[in-house]
Amino acid sequence: MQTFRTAMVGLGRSDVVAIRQTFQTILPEDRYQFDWVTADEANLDILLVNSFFTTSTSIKRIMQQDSVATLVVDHEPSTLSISEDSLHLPIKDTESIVEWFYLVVLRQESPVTAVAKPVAVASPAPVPTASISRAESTAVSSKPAEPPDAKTVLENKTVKEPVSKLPPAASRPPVAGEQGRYRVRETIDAVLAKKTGVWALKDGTGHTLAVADIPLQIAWVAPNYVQSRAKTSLPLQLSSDYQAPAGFVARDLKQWLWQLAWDLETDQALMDKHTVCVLKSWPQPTAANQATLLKACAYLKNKPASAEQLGYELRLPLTDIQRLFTACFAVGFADEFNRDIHHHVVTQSSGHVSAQQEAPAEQASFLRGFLSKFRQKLGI
Amino acid sequence: MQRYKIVFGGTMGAGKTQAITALSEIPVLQTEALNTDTFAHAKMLTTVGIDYGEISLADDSKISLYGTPGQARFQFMWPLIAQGALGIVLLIDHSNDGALDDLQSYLKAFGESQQHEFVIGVTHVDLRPEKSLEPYRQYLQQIKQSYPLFAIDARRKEDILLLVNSLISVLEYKVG
Repeated sequence: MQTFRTAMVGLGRSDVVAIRQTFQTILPEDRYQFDWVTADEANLDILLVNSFFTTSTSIKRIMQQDSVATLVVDHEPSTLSISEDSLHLPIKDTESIVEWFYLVVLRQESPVTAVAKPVAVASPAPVPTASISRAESTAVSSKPAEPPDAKTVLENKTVKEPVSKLPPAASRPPVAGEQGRYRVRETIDAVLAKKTGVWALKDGTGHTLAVADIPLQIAWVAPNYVQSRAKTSLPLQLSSDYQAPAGFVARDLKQWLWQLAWDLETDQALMDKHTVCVLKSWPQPTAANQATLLKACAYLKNKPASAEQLGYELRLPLTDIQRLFTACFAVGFADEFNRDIHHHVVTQSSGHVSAQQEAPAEQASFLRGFLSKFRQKLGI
Repeated sequence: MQRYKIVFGGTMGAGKTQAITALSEIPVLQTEALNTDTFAHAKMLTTVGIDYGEISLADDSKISLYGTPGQARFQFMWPLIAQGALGIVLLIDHSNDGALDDLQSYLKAFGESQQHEFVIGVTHVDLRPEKSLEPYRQYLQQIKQSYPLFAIDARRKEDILLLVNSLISVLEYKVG
């Protein structure tokens, strides 16, 4: 697997998502992946920069590095997506991007060109510089290959992997597992297991609920999801195939997945009522679930408990607590209690009990009364 | 007459004064001056002393709401103001590039310990929607503290009430 450290500078969020999605789908992902980083990180492979920012000193410095393949991004009208080292948005064709990628980044012949001109090149023709225009690339691919010099061959053999012929992205069948249909918890596990990339979550009818941006830990949520979520049809699907999310709204990824589990997980899939939960992070409540969440999380902050115990002590419906536990476990907001790992929680809670025992009962009673009056005053 | 105290701390421009104004029954005593540190925040006025608001309960007990000045040069004041407080509402301006550092330094400055109950409100999320809250959660997990942490809008009273409600909930279970 070859990974390309790729940075984008000065681009709007819909452009960023569209570019990521395109890059991710045009190459065989069992061989290549993109690590989306910021431009100030070392060892960049690819830089995509808004045309307005190319005069910036820091950007110029990066663009001057031969090892960084640079695309200047603009919105100029063009029939091709890439020409003269410029990426023109919106993306119209993927072939020119594939060709640029192979010629400039991999420094090999593009499979698109190879299919079009099968006699042109017998073996990959390395290109000595990272900066190459489309005109130059055509010239290279259409003429018989020159024997590469020894240094370039060595670099290509040691750094670049051999490439198989790649069919155009549109005709490529989905990779096994990508298009799988999952239950809610399995879908969330699958999203959180991704290390990089942009993934669409669709409902059972193929409607995109949100697009998960793994590097940013953001979910781009469909504008109508909030209203329609009660009607979302199961099972969910995880897919790399979706439309660029114009009008989608950015949300914190884990919080959104938590809400997804809270809203959609079926009763049959809820956590066992005897599982003891340790709270790590509080989910963001909504007006509808605030009372339950704050009570349960405040209790769990002080000590681990099972759903059964919490439901009994807080007089809350058991299924609500199980739903809370299930959603929190799904996104890593809670862990199953383990005495060896969570000794600090036990220490804290036992410390709390002893402090409480030492505190005068009258004082504790007074404070409880005060908190009750404070609640009344605020109407909460 | 019993007096209790809740402290609002956090970065300059995070919304401490607005939060106190949303809760206080009296006109908030503000000590604002022209902001000369426009590098830290672009707002025109900033708190240079202590903001003060108040809530009265039926039995004549009062809850004092103190807002600390956000600038780092007033750091020495923060733990002093927080002494004896029921809890600390920490507001972090998410639009700052160093927001995670802000959270770390404010928790430390206020004495991140068992002494205080913290509730964290992350503000101005709308200005940086592409920034996740995950780094804050990871930091709290790293220091083994499960403080409530919510994205809020300090201008909305119901968001401030969410923070206070979570603080009260934590205190209720702590008291037993």
